[in-house]
Amino acid sequence: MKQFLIKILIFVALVIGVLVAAVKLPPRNQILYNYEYVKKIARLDTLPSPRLVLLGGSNAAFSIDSKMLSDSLDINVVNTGLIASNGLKVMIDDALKYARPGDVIAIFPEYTQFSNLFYGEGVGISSCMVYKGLDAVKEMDIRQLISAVENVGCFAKSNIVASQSGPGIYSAANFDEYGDEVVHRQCPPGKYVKPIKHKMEIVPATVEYFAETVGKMKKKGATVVVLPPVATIGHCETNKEYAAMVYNALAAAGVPFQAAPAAYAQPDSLAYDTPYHLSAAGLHNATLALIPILRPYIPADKSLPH
Amino acid sequence: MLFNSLAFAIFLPTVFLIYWLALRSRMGRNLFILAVSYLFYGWWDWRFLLLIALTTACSYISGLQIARAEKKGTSLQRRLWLWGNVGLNLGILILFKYYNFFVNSASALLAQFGITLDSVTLNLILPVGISFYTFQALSYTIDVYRRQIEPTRDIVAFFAFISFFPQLVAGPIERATNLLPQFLRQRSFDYTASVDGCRQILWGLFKKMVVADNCALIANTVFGIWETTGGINLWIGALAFTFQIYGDFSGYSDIAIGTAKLFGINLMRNFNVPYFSRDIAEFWRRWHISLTSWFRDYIYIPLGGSRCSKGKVVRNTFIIFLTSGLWHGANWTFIAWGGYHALLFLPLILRGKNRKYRDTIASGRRMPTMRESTLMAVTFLLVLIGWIIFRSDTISEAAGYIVRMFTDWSLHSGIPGKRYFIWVAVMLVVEWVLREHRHTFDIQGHGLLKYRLVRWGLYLGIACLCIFDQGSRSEFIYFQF
Repeated sequence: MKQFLIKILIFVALVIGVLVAAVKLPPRNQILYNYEYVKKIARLDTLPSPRLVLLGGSNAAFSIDSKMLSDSLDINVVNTGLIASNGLKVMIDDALKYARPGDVIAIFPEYTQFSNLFYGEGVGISSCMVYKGLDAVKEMDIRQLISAVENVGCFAKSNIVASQSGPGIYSAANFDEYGDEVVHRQCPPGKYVKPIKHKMEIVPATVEYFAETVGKMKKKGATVVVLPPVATIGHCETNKEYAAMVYNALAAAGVPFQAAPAAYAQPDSLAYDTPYHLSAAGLHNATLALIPILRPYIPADKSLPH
Repeated sequence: MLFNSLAFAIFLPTVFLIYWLALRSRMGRNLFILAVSYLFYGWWDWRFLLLIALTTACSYISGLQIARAEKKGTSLQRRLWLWGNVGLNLGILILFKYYNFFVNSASALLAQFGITLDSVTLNLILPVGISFYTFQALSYTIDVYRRQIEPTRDIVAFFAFISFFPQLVAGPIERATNLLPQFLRQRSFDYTASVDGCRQILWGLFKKMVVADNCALIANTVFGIWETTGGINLWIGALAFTFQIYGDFSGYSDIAIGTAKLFGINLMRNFNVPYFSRDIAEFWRRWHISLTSWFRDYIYIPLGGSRCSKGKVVRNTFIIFLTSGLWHGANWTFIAWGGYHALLFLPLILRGKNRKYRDTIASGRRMPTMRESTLMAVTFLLVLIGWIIFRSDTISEAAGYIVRMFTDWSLHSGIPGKRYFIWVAVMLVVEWVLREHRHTFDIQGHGLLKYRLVRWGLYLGIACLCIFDQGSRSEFIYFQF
């Protein structure tokens, strides 16, 4: 037994050693798509208030024109949308941490983010943990940390190989100063992946936490608008029932969507490669439709304290 | 709790250490196994525990009552207890797994004749692994009835036998004759078996995390766009699913068997290189062995098996394959998959050739003959087509997919992850080399692997692959069955 335990311990130590070395030793690859998270947090920290903070998964990153919003609404805009697998919890926790009086926080959660995806999964949540460093232990809960640790090897691999595969569309090099992914706007549409019908169960605790955090943002003096994700009409049709379930759950928690999913949904022909990623024409139309929805929330007096 | 999760990586060593270091008595260890098995199962949803406890308690009581009735010499009572328990267990299974399917199918059928039915479907969660433990419990009652095993009075051992966590949710479906006696005797730590168990766990993790989960990426993409993508991609998607389901399920079985070894328990082999089969009959002797043998022993042989008229052989073959299909899930595609395999199996059994290949292919040789290779390739192709039916959402989708595979030879780009087939190749090579061993990662003493440093290098390499090149984490496919 003793011999067995010693051997197992040596083996586990070797595996952990390789893993830690792979995560810690290579420099952070600044082309890796997930590295944009670091830049977005820096923007969130430094951009003066009042400002419009866009929160969401890749629907926010790919399908909203932040410059257009900024020009039309005459307010600073920071788009923190990146990838749904970071988990909605990380997004709202970070937004709360940096929220200031006068901020308008527009949240575009993807529907499945009220399932277990709320806590993040895959490389997304692992990258958040690694970039946050020791703060991750303080800021993330146990479910996030478990998910992050389980996938940290994949993050390490992505970090190491990112530079070999070149930037492509999914690269941190492709975001503008607002936090929008802009390179895809110049590209011809990729192969469109049809919308998938969501079947994941909504976890009530996630809705509860979401509502609580929205309440805390408001307490800090921010205005919060919860909106359906920017997507294609096909996606809205396919997930009509699921969206209604999410709407009802959010409404019951006191944080309902402030617009219908169809209010700014675009035809499938205007998708770039997924139902959440619109082409240049699609995101232009969607942003035009978003402007009147957001305008009532924008403070008239822009001279609020920093 | 998934085998490939951090939770299990903490759970397993903790349970292992307490089991061997803190507990000495057989009863204490059984009680502990029972407690941690219920914790393991309740991790999904604690409500599932009520169902498994009910199934176990009923099977325990009926086993004792059958023996009691035997002593009294009342065969009617024996039969009543048997069928009462079978009815109850199958009733629970049907209610949770098949009720909505039957109701919806009946409504759809009646609608064809213009009859509208106000059907009531139930919003029930399908308990994970219900088909596995139900069949294990049934086998105990039937074996007691057949006098193949004495009923046990040891309630803790019996509950531990039904709920033993390594094989609880996806098999192997154990027989009471093999597993229950192991809970009734004292167990001691066996170094060799434990090391072998760890090796098998590692190989199972590789098959699940590296092969299956990466193949899933390809298969999911192709099956999601099968109507618009090129025919070559459809072949790639079908191949990916063929290896996904093998890596997923046989990987689970390897982890389960390896984990059981750590606790001094031997589980039966569930897969024996099925893709190296030379005909469909051999495939079914090597694929999901515990289920196939269950159907053989408890349904096929009681119906007369192959020792009856040709008409009855056809009937029995269809019954066993269609039931096996339905066992996999409440969908017509599974039934069609079973029917497809029945059609492939019938010519062999009717010509008395279903037992032609009972040895391992190319036994004692390195490579197969040309004839063996051809037979293996044809069998593999037939199995692959079956998996398309199995994987599709509807029968019409399966038919469309298969037709396009053979009529459209265009190649569209855009299928991610094709490089992962390299790991499929690695798996196949290893399993080919070790096809005659006790399990497919029984590597000790093989060539360079007799050197400890080389072996450790290999173990470390596989562990690193599981960590760095794992696919997107998904549940084991067979959990839903």
